[in-house]
Amino acid sequence: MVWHIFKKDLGLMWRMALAVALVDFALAAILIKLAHFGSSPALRSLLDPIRFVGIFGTAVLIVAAVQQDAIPGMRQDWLARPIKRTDLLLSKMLFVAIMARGPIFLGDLVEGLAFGFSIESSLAAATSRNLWMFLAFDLPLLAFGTLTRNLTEAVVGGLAIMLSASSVIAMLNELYRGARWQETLRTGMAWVTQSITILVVLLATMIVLAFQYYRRKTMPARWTTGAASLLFVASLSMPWRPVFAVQQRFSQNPAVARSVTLAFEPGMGRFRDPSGLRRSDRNESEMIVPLPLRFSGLPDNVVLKADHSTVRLISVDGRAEDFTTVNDLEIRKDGSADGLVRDYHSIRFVAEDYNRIKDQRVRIEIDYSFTLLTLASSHGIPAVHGEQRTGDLGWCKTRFNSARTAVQLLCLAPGKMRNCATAFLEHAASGRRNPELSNCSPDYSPYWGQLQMDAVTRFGFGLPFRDPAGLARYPIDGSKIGESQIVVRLYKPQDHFTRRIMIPEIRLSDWVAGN
Amino acid sequence: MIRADNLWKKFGRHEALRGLSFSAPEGSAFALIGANGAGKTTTIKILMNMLEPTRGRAEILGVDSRRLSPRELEWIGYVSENQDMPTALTVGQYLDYLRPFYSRWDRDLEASVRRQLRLPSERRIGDLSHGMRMKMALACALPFRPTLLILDEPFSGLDPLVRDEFMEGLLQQAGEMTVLISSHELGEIDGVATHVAFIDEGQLLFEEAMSDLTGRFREVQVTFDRPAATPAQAPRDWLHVRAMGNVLAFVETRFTEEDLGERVRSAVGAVRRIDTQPMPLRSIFTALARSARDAAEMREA
Repeated sequence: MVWHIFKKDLGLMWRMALAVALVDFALAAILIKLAHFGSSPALRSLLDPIRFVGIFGTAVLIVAAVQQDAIPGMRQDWLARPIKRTDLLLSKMLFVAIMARGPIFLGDLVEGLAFGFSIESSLAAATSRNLWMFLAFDLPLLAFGTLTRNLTEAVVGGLAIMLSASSVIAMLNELYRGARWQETLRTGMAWVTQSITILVVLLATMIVLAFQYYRRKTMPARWTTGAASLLFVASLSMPWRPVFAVQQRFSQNPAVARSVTLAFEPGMGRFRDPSGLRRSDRNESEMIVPLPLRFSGLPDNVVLKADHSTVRLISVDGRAEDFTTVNDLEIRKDGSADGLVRDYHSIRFVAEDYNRIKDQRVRIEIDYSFTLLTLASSHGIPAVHGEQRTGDLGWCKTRFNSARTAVQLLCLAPGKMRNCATAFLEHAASGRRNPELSNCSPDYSPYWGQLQMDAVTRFGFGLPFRDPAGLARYPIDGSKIGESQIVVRLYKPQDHFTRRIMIPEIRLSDWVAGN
Repeated sequence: MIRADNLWKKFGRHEALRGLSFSAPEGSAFALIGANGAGKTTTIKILMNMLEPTRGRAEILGVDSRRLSPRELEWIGYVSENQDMPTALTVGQYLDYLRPFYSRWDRDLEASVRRQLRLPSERRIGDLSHGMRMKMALACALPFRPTLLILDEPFSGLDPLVRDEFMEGLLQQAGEMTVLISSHELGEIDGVATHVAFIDEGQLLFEEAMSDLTGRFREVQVTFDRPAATPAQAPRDWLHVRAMGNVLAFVETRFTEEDLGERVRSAVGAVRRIDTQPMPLRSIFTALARSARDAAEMREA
C-alpha cells in the first residue's frame, strides 16, 4: 500500500512538487551557466534567492506531504481506515525521497555531467550530498511535519523553534564571548561535532516518528522536539579535548610527527613586517601579539596547522588565565628549507583583556593541537587562460582579474574536495616564484562525502603579481606572467598530535609588532 | 461486539466521561443518546482508538480499543459529522483510493450505494455540502460490508430529504451488521434502534432494550373529583409531576398494566380515572433529561 498512498499524495501535490522541482532545476542551470568565472551579475544575484526559495519550497513540500494524512487531532478520516502505520510512514518517506529530494539529486547529477565529470563521480557526488541531506534535513522535517496539522501551525512552530534556538545561541555567544563556544566547528574537526548533532537530530527524529505513527502521542513528541533542539544547541559546544581525541584515532600516519618539536625563540625579536610598513594590528576589539617560535623535526613538504591552541597566562602570584584560539598558526616547509622553521604565532586577544594584562610579567604555557599535512600532489597550470583536469583538483581554469593585478584560479570538483592547498606563480624559465599563498581549511572527516550546499565544490586562489599602489614588487610581474604557471600543491592530513611550550616570564606589550 | 468498562476521560480539568460502562450485543442497533456535551462523541472516539481513555477500557470486536489494528478496522464502518476527508480529491478518486485497503470491497455495492445516495463522482469533496459529505462518508463505510457500523451524530445538520436518503441507504444495507449510533435526533432513532443507552454528563443513566424502555415509560393522567395537587412525596418512579385543574400528570418509569391503579391510589388517594399513553423516544428522552437537570440543580443548591 506504500505505493498506493504515494500515488494519492502525488495526485494531490503534483503542482507544488513541480513548482519546487522547477526551482531546483533553475538553481542547477544557474550553477552550470556560472561554471568557473560566469560573470553575469544578474545570474549571480539570483543564486542566493533561488537557493533560499528552493530550500524553503522543499521544506514546505515535505511538511505538506505529511499533513495530507495529519497525525495530531482526531477528525482525520485515515484514522478509521485499515491503513498500516508503517505503510503510511514509508509512503511519506518515499514521497520525500522521490518528489522533494529527487529533483535536487537530478540537478546535482546533471551539473556534474555538464561540467564533464564522469558518470561515476557525478553520481557519487550527487548521491553522497543528497543522502546526507535526506538524513539531516528531510527526515527531521518530516518528523516536524507530523507534529502539525496545517502549514500555519508548521510555520509558527518552525519560527518558535528557530527563535528559541537563536536566543540560546546568542546567549551562549554573549556568555563565552566567542572563545570556547562552537570552537570545534571552525576547524577541520567540525565533522565530529556535526556527526554528534546529526545523531541527536536523527535520534529525535526516530523517537518523534515512532511516537506519532505508532502511538499518536503528539504532546510527548513535541516535548521530545523541544528537548532535542536544546540538546542540538548544546552539542554544538562540544569541548575541544574529546573531539581532538576522536580525531587522533583517525590519524593516517601517527608516527610521522613524532620528531616535531617547537620552542620559544626570543632571539628572533619582535615581529616586523617584511614590507617595512607598520601593520595596523590594533582595532577596536582585538590586539595581536606575535610570539616567535622555532620548529624542528618537520619532514619536508609539509604544512603544520595548529587547529587549536590554549594560551595560559600565569602571573607572578600564580593566577592563571586561559585564552583559546583556533586556526591561527600555519607553518609550511618545502623541500628546499633547512631543518628548522622559524615563524610567529600571532595570538589574538580581546582588546579589553590585552589592556588589562599587557604590562604584567607573565609566564605563558601554550597547548597546541596540531595537524601535520603532507604533500599529496602538485600541479602546474598556465597562469593565463589555463585549463586543466586532474583527478584530485577537478576541472581548473585561470584568468586575470578585472583590474589585471592578479591571476585567478578556480577549480570545480564533484563531491568532497581536498581543501588544503598552497599556490604560487612560477616562471618556468628563470625558476622565479612569487610568494606562496595558502588556502587551507581542511575537513578531516573520514566520511564519504559531506553535508554541503552543492554537489560540485569550488576551490580557488587569487594570486597577485602587481601592486596597484606600486609599493610591492613581485619577482614575476606583468611582463612575465604570460610565460608563467600557477603551481598548486595539495596536502592531505597525516597526523594529529599535541605539543606544549613554556615561555618564561615576559610582558605581552614587549612583543607587539614593531616597525 | 462493543463493551465499555468504567471509561473515564479527562480533558484538562474537565471530566468528559465518568466511569461509563455499557455493552452493545452483536446484531443490535445500539443508540447512544444524550444531550450535547454528554460524552457520546468522546465515547465513540475512544472506541475507534482516536482518543485514549484516561482510565478504564473499551473493547470492540473483542479487541482492546487501544490495540485496534487494520485487521479490525477492515470490519468497521465509521461515519461521523467530524470526519475530515481529503477535500482536494473527487468523490470517485477517494473511493478509488479506499478500495484497495478493504479485501471485501464490493464494487457493485459501491455503485449501488453511490446511485442511491446520488453522489456526483466528479465533484471535489471540498465542494460538497454538509449533507452530501455525510452521504459520502456513508458511501465510504458500506461497500466493504462491515460487521460493525459506527455512526456519530449522522443526522446533525441534515435536511429532511437528505436524512431520508441517508436512512434509506443505511437500512437497505444494514442486514446483519451491528450498528452503534450516537444522536440527539431521537425521531430518526426511534424506529431503528433495538437498544438504547442514555448518557448524561459522562455517566450512564440507563441501558436497555428499546422494547423494554418503551414498555415501562407511560405518560399518565390521573383525573380527580376535586382539584388535583402535586403530592408532597411523589414516588421516585414518577417524573415531571404537575397538577392542572382536576388532572395530575406525570411520566411513569416503571409502568405495568396490572399494578398502576393500586400504586396511584396509594400515592394520591381516590381517583376518578387513570389514562395512560405510550411515549415516543423523544418524550422519554426529554423527561429523563429534564429530570437529570433538575436533580443536578438540586444537588448544586
